[in-house]
Amino acid sequence: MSRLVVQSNQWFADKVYQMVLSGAKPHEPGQFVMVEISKGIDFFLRRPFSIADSKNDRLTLLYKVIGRGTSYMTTLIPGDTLDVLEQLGNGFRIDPNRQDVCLIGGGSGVFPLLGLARRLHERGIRPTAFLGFDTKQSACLISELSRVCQVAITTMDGTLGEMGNVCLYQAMYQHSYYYAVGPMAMLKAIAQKTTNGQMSLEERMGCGFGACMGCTIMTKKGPAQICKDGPVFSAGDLIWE
Amino acid sequence: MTVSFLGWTLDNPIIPASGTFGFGLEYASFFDLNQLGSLTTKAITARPRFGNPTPRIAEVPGGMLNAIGLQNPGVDDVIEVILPKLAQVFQKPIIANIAGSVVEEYLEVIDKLNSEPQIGAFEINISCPNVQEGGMVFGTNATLASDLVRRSKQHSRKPLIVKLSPNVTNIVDIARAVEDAGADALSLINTLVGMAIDREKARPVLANKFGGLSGPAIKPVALRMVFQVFEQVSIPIIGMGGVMTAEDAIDFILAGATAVGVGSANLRDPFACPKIIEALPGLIQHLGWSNIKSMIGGAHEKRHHRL
Ligand SMILES: Cc1cc2nc3c(=O)[nH]c(=O)nc-3n(C[C@H](O)[C@H](O)[C@H](O)COP(=O)(O)OP(=O)(O)OC[C@H]3O[C@@H](n4cnc5c(N)ncnc54)[C@H](O)[C@@H]3O)c2cc1C
Ligand SMILES: Cc1cc2nc3c(=O)[nH]c(=O)nc-3n(C[C@H](O)[C@H](O)[C@H](O)COP(=O)(O)O)c2cc1C
Ligand code: FES
Repeated sequence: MSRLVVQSNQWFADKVYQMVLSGAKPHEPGQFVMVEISKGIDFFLRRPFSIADSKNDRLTLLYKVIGRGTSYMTTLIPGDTLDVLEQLGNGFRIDPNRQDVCLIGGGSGVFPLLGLARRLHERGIRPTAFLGFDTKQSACLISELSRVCQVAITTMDGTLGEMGNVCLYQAMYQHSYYYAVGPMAMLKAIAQKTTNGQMSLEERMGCGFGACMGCTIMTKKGPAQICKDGPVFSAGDLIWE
Repeated sequence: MTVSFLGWTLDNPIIPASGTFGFGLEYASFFDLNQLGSLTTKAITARPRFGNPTPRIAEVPGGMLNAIGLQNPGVDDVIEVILPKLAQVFQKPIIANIAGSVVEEYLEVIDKLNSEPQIGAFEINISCPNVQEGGMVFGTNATLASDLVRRSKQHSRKPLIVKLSPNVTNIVDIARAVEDAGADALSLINTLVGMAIDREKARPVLANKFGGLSGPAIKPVALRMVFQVFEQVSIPIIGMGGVMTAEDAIDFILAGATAVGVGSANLRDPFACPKIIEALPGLIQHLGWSNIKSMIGGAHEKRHHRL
């Protein structure tokens, strides 16, 4: 647990903010942190956020404003401090011999793909990113990702890129391996086509470090905690109803 | 800081509450568990349980709801895999929380755990609100509760703590019944049944619909129950419900608790217990008491006359 200092906290896209924190430990792409929104009991539970990027002691979070906690976070200003539980979860596994990979992100699911794409780039891998958004206003990270990978975009309303759901992008199934993050319906649709990849899952969390059994899923290898055994799972280990 | 409890001496009265501390292992990476007075395991059942579907957790004002549904790997795995790991990081006697659907399941778990030297006491969970059968059914009916405790007592070779449910009309009746049936101590309280609604989706937040309310929101209820039960029974009490700070812990001791359980606070802050333990001596001194033992039940009028 560390007290991290807010370096910046700015509007990033429709309902999405970017927060840069300093004083952080190094994180692997796909890991997450549990953020204490404020002292006191107004927000009893911490909130889980993926690492969008981690460099030196800087941690970048991208968060979508959806409820009380994320609304409150938008009011923080540089110099404010946050109590953060760091280095949670397993992160994406990278195989340097696997060159033909793609990244698939739906909505907020694109956030953790930034750090992953940069890490792959460092390892000499240039993936293609397939990103799905609701509409042009909520699209983000396109220029950042374009620097390290090929980017293909879909929006549900057709205001940017191709119209429709990102899973309908047939081109992505031509890659031999994927890293996918996004809504359950998207992950399920992808897994039904191929399980050659890794998926990051979300669930409401009590602790974030494996103590409360709040975030359990059944996998082919038995019960697993999303916070501790995940959030990244091999797609082939997941069970879909 | 020491208190005597069930024949052992606790270095301090702080004990992580069942279900909020796993089997201790996750917390061992945050701090040295041996700072704790003892620790309580997650509920152990005869066979592995997966628990309820997710979402199992919801935040509510002043606390949280959980509907875990007693997920645990089952008593055999606990004995073979978990207890040996725990022995490496925690050297004091632990409290094993035990649950079952039927009386025989409780007895089976007790029989199997009897020979485990790490276990200092059993905590019979008759108060889990999140399972269809067993659990709270026993805790809300004095006859069923005393029958279960009597039979558990016959099987148990360790002291028996009974964990009471607050979801009853009169907790004193149940407390008395289980004391008469042979309980060596009481734990109270377990969670209060509640729910949260997802307004946008117009449905309950928890997949199980209902869950157990814990955290600061329940502290006044828990204190009242510890206070009432203390006056009517003579066995020691582990008091719990919403303890976040050393101040909260002291309130429970003054209400009549010999030891204090810390639950949901651990989830919010994995260092909650060591922080409370560190703050206790200064607070006790500040309040003008010489030691914790002398404070037990200190808020009761009878005690004031005695002093
Ligand atoms: C491993 C993981 C990584 C995540 N990464 C990101 C990220 O990088 N960016 C981002 O914008 N969001 C992310 N989320 C979702 C984010 O945690 C929620 O949007 C956030 O907790 C909502 O908080 P709130 O107080 O605004 O919402 P409220 O609805 O007011 O929150 C009430 C409670 O529900 C929980 N909750 C609500 N929605 C979710 C959800 N989708 N997942 C988990 N808990 C939820 C909250 O944590 C809180 O305990 C992630 C979730 C998980 C589990
Ligand atoms: C996530 C969670 C899981 C729990 N699991 C158990 C359990 O398995 N057995 C039990 O007796 N009590 C269980 N409890 C109840 C706690 O031990 C405690 O009695 C209750 O939460 C009140 O204390 P608190 O307000 O400090 O959390 C659980 C509580 C929570 C929050
Ligand atoms: S959130 Fe507590 S175990 Fe995963």
